[in-house]
Amino acid sequence: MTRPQRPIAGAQSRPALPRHVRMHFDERRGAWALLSPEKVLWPDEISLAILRRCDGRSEAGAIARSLALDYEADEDEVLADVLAFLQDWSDRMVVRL
Amino acid sequence: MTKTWKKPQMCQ
Repeated sequence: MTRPQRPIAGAQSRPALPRHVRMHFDERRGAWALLSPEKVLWPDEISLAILRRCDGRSEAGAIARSLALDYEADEDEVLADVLAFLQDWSDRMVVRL
Repeated sequence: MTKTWKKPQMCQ
């Protein structure tokens, strides 16, 4: 039996939220939550900034560029962090690459 | 206020 291939995050990946994951503003906590069937995720401000750009059309490289401009940060550092984040959450089926 | 980049974290 062949194993399904593990998607690998790269600068050309076009990340999106899968259909079973949605973002929801929690009035009680005054924070955004990511709801999926078996877990609730609480993203910090940076994670939220990344997730908001995961529209299935933007490439990870462009997302990192936009964030680097926004945060006046080094683009290579931001890209490395964004790719690690996307890989981690893709492996846990919260982000689709 | 300047925004500072840090590694993204998400609590599950």
